[in-house]
Amino acid sequence: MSAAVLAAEPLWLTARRAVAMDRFAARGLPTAKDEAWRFTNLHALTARAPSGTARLTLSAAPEGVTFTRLSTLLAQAPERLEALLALPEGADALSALNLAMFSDGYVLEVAPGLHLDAPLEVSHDNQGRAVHMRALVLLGEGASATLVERANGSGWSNNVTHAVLGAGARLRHAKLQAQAADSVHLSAMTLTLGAGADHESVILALGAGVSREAVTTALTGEGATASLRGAYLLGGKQQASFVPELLHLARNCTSRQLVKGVLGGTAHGVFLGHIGVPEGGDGTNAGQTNRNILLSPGARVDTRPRLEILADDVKCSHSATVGALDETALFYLQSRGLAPPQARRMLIEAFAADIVDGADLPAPQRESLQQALSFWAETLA
Amino acid sequence: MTKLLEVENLHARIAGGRDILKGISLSVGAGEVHAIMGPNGAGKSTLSAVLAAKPGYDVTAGSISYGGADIADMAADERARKGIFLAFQYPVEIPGVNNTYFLRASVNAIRRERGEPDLDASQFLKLVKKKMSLLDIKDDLLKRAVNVGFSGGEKKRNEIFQMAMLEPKLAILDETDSGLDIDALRAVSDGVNKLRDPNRAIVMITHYQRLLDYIEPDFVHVLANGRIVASGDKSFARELEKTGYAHLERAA
Ligand SMILES: Nc1ncnc2c1ncn2[C@@H]1O[C@H](COP(=O)(O)OP(=O)(O)OP(=O)(O)O)[C@@H](O)[C@H]1O
Ligand SMILES: [Mg+2]
Repeated sequence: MSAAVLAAEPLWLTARRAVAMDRFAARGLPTAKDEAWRFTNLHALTARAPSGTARLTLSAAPEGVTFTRLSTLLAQAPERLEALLALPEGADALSALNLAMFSDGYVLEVAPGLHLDAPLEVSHDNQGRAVHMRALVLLGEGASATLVERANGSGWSNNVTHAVLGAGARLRHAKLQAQAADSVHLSAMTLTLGAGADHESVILALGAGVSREAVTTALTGEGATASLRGAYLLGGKQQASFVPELLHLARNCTSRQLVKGVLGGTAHGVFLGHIGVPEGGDGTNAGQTNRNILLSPGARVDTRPRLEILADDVKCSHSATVGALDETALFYLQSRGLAPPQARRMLIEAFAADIVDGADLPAPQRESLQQALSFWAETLA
Repeated sequence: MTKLLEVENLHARIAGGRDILKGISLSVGAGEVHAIMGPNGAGKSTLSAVLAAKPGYDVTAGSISYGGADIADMAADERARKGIFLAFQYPVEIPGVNNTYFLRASVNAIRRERGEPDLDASQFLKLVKKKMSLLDIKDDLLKRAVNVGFSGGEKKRNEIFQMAMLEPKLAILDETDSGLDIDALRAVSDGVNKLRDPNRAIVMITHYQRLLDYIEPDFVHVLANGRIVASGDKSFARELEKTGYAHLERAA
């Protein structure tokens, strides 16, 4: 059987798809035995939707910038992708499945030294299918860009994003995941940062019944900086995992992880944060914070920081908290006439707001994320 | 005529604990100012908490009626919307909630209860300006999170500013004078005096005669060991300065 997915795809890709499919078949879907997937319940996937593509919308590309569908580029200039569409060593089963099955996605490439002021926007709207979307983000040396991503619709999304930032490049990435409650949203983003490169991702996991945001950042050049700001606001039976992995592979790199969760109903939040500093990662400064608020007795959080530090000169901090809304503050608000749901909404918003307020984004994009948080806070209150 | 507030033989406790209020009776008419004094731990803040329906307290006997209706089952937010205001002894810091945003939500919640339309942002700001001039409050406090990082005196002023904004029928001020410097005490007292109104009753809990020099009460009560053990007019407070509470507690 041929493993080609697209009508006119290069032979090297078809060959790689076959290998990837073998890898997936050998491993199968992750189960509770895989530590990194322990809490992600994939039972929903056993009754799988037919595969297909999402409705993908990309904003216009300014001059000097490639911002286009992956399928288009594969048809027009496959040679530009040959080195990039590969299965990394150690890629997990779902990343392998993505390579085997993807039919579209997007490529963003910004030429060295080019600064983009206006954000680029991509939205994927899953029409109830199993969609394997693949994205490539390539910033040349000293380039800078802001990418705003929105995931909507239903079905199963299994997205893989691969980003490479050249020396001194700067990427601001915002993602709003608001898929329907019956969807499964799995996202794996891997980033490689060159010397002095600077990355920030703001990820709001608000929708989907089951979601997972894995962000693996390799700080490979001296003085690179990475920041992950994340929030999950979950109700009903929703489940969301954040799996950030920060690898300090070069000297004097800085990383921050700040992830907050608010959980009602019987929702389940998971934070598996990893900081890895191998020998040679001297001058590392890494911080990791996961804070949670449980709104109901049935809600649950598993938070597991993991630090592996083999270098000497390292500053590393981590903290995790799980609490409830402040009763005294609730009473204070109520004593001023606010009904309990309104009071709770205010406190939920106040708790989660700094994830977005502190994000380095243009005001309109930040405001739209603020509105989304506010809307979801209201549904939870 | 029924009084605005009628407390009768009120017994209350922290849920699961012993009784702290052991038979309070207090009757407050519209337009009146009552001062409640008494030793530390007597139950003054507990009384104010029970009047404001703070969760965690059980009323074990007696009744509270407000505007002629029993309010035993009325939750804190509804009492507030119906005009009961508590200025906290220890105002609560709420990080992340902007003071102006909070106050506008609160003003509008109360207006809605009265059947009045919401104030939009500019109408609200006009009202803020008007009330601020009443109290000599700094407007940068309004841009900050509710009470966060406010000095002790700023917190107390903010409480009275909220009272001015919300225009309650019954204001309970729990030690609003504690921690105020001399000028702030005067400013806050002036503010409260401006809010005196034939339709508004004020119950102020205090330890100090000085406050009563600024805000002259119609009645002074001593609350000791969970009961009102003595009451009088404003001259009674002066007497207490000299005699202390001990003889009253013994007599009770
Ligand atoms: N949360 C609580 N748990 C246990 N006991 C409490 C609690 N709150 C108040 N009490 C007790 O109830 C009694 C009355 O307290 P309350 O705060 O009403 O006194 P007060 O008259 O306001 O005193 P002060 O003048 O010092 O403010 C005290 O003995 C106090 O220790
Ligand atoms: Mg007290």
